[in-house]
Amino acid sequence: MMSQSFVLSHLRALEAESIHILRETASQFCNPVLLYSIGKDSSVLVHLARKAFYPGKFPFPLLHIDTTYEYPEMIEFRDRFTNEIGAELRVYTNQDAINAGANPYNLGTAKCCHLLRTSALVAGLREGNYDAAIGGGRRDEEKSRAKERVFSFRDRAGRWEPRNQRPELWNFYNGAVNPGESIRVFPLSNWTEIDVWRYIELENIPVVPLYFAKPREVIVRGQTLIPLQSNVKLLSGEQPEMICCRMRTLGCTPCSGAIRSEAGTTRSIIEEIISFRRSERENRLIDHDQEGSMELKKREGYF
Amino acid sequence: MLQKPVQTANEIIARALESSKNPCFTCSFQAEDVANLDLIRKQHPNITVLFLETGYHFASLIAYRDRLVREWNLKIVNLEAKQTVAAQEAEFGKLYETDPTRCCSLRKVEPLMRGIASHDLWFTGLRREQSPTRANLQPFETHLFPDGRTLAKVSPLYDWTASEVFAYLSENKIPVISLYSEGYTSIGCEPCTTKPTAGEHTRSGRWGGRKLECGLHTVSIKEN
Amino acid sequence: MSIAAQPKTVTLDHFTASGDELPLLRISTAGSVDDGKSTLIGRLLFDTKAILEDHLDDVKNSKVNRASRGIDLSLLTDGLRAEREQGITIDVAYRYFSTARRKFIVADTPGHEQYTRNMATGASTSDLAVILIDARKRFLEQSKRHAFISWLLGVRTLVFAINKMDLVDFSRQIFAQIREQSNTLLSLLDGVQVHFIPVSALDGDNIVTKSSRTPWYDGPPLLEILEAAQPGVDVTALPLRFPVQTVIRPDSDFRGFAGQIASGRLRVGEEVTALPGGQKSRVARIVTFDGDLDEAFAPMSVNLVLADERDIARGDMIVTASKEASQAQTVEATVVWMNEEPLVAGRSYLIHQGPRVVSARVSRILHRWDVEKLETRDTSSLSLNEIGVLEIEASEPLLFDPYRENRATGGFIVVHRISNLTLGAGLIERKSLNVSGRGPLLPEERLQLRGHSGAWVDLSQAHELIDAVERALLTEHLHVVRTEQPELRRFGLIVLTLGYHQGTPDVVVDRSDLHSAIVAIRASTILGALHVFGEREGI
Repeated sequence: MMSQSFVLSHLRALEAESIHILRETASQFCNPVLLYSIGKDSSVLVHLARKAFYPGKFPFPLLHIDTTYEYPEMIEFRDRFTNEIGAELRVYTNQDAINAGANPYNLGTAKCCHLLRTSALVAGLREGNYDAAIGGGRRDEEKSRAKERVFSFRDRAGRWEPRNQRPELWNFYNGAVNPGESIRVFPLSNWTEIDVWRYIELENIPVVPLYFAKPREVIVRGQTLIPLQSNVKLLSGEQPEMICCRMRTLGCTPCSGAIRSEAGTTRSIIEEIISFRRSERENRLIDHDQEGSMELKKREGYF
Repeated sequence: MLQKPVQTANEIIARALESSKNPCFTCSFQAEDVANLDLIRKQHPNITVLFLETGYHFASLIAYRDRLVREWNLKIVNLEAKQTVAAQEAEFGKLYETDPTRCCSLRKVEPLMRGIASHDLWFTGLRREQSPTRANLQPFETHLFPDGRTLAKVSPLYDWTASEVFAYLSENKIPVISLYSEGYTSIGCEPCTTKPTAGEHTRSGRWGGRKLECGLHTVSIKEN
Repeated sequence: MSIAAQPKTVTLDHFTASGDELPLLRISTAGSVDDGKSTLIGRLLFDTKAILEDHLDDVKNSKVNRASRGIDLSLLTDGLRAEREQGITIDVAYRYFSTARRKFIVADTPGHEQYTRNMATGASTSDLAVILIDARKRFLEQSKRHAFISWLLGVRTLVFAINKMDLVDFSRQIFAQIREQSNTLLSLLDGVQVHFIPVSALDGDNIVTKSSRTPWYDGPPLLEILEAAQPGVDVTALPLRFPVQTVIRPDSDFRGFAGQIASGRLRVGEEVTALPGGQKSRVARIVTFDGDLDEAFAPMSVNLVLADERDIARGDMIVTASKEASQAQTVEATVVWMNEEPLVAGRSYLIHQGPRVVSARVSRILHRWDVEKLETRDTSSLSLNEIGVLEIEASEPLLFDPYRENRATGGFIVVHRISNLTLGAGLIERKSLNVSGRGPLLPEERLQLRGHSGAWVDLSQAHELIDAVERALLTEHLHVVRTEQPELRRFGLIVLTLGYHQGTPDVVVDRSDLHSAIVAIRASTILGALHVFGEREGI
């Protein structure tokens, strides 16, 4: 029977593994970048990056792919937080698509996401000439991610092929690439949604206030509550209501819904998740576009 | 802050020179090469400086080279590829776009190997921090030629950080090439040097040590 | 930015499991598609409520729904579209579930022989393997293979889940027979702890709760075994091994070696050696973002500051001075080949041992394992999914402990220099004994070269057997000599004496038969190879 004093708690075991992965990334690649989506997983990633290189600063910039449809609270949080920790923030937007008037109402969510997120991501990474992009993807998020590697190989076109990935044994990550190729790194691969929230609680990590329940003005559309923002178009007959709600995952304003909830603190969110098992992406309409849609997006270069 | 790194570098240079009659130093005129050159010339003023004249350099780099050659009275040898740029482009087109590895091989590697062949010691400005493949660089290594001959390869700044390099240049009032202040972090041939990313909310402030671009600078050199 | 003269400190409680929390457990699963493995995992996920409600809805609505009754649990785990439609799984998939006390990570791997590489991958990080057996099919060659590969990669707890018991009427006899059939194999696997459970994944018998349909089974259900499982080896009790990932130098005053402790414990003040150079120093600080620690243990990720200025870089290893890791340029290693292009001797590759990368050549293929029969075969190449023992010559020293002693420092991956693909995974067995070396031979070198150790065989009471004994031993190519100098056994010879001498013979042959005499002699001159099953059985 092992002495309890030399056993890590499971959150600390996950933390140690993620720090190891971040250090490997910085050491194996010439030009890594951390993809910062401002969400809770990103917030945990940045926190882990600060730990990994302490007492130095983490040696890569943060890159936010800005669709311009983000909630203002997210942008405000992004700017304040990155400034506080002294991180280098880079922002990329698919300006051509925006100029051409891209929005989900006219294009539909699949096409809009493709332009403003998927291809923007691939273009943003190419522009910066990054050979490694760190993201907050977890294997428990969606079935097609269960087989994703920690170091996920992307070819010169930024595409993922399931048969192209390298076996990962022990804690060895093979990040060797040829010019133009890159790796997506997922330090949170073995974390579940609950692990992420528990860690946020344990470490007191700041996250965007949208995650916490409070009365908000929303439009009720079927099962989903869409918080009222200036760019949300009211359809005929719709009336805004004040409902106590929170966002489970953050996406663009027209496409992400809130859920009814009283959970205004991290602890209550954790309890709610445990008892209230709905998929993180249920309210992100995009995931229901097609069966296996996440896989299709991954083949195109989105996570 | 620089006392220890400078002392270590000087010890390495001294030790290397003890056993060498005909050392050379490959210089790209980037910051660390200039710092290195300054340290070496203090112990061996007549060191042969080898410069890879690829024909694709920034004009400002050539001007900087010429200035330093004049001011420091350097014994410089410009190593050129077998073909001129015009001839190469006529035959292969713009290799730096289609096959950069080959372009480097023709315009850098081959002339380099020719250039160092007649020397008995080769100083380089390589640093561990520069590249993942250099993470375990040793100050004294052995370069192996295809014909089996060996050449001692010495990297006095192997353990220096980028900030130490710039601090040294600043303290010794050595001018750096103007391209750095334009935002370039690494300077190679003009077509292949990454331009700084324009327009975003880029905050100033360099990060960690990973400032130099890799890939084009990896010459397959056997160690030990 | 200078580090404060008095850094903040933190104690180990900040990191250790508290209360009744149990440590993370990594499990691998093996079994073929038809054995019901996906159903079993689906059941574990479902019953511990890891499945998010709408993944279930997806499954109910999906075009592909094979089971005739209720939800097809296997669909909960199948992911990729192509696979979903074909109904099979192709790669290693990671699943997560928890009980109130423990979090589990499952490396779910396919069972077909053609996915040996995936099995090995999943087993490499696992502490426990769940091996599925279809009760109707019994203990097959395939189950042997699953057990062997798991054991080879260091898994020391094997749980055999005998599934589809509902289709054999929950027969106690069949269950007992399967246990019987596994005995021979299991006796060959050192240090392994084994459980057998009768289950029905489809109906849920003995998975989470005890089944009333197996009253003759008095063991716990699967989930209880998983909750109680301890890794076979306490990695914190092994010698300290700290592979350096990167050097952290925010300013000229601070130089920290960052990495994840691979094994053992680290204490401030402890004497350590940096390999391969051999420089010694003491641990001055163990730095983390949360504060300085007095001690740390595997698998914590820390930043180590030494008392002396030492030139240590990524790829070096800091070890305890009292028991250093081995260094060798030529080693013998068991390798699982994972690429379509076969391995042949003479090729050159890159060997990655964590952060350490060295160039190496396969100088010889010693033999290949026939995994179903657990025998060795000669071969000149190793194909995809084959396991062989190779001799590897590296251009720089490899830093290691034999895999059998330490999983964290005995493994390596083989990487192609140009395509960058991971071609195979290796387990270092030992330093290769260099035949062309110089100087006096070490006893183990003699052992290796002769193939057996020396012995003094006293035939003073059975003179008439000496010819037959000499002939029998020579026929087996053992090095035997008739002489009255028993001390020659020191040189690895089997010495047959007829006279009386001082000292203790290794074997005294009395007037019993020749056969027993030969068996006794063989037993005392046991072969150096540790895990050559066939030969062991023959002794």
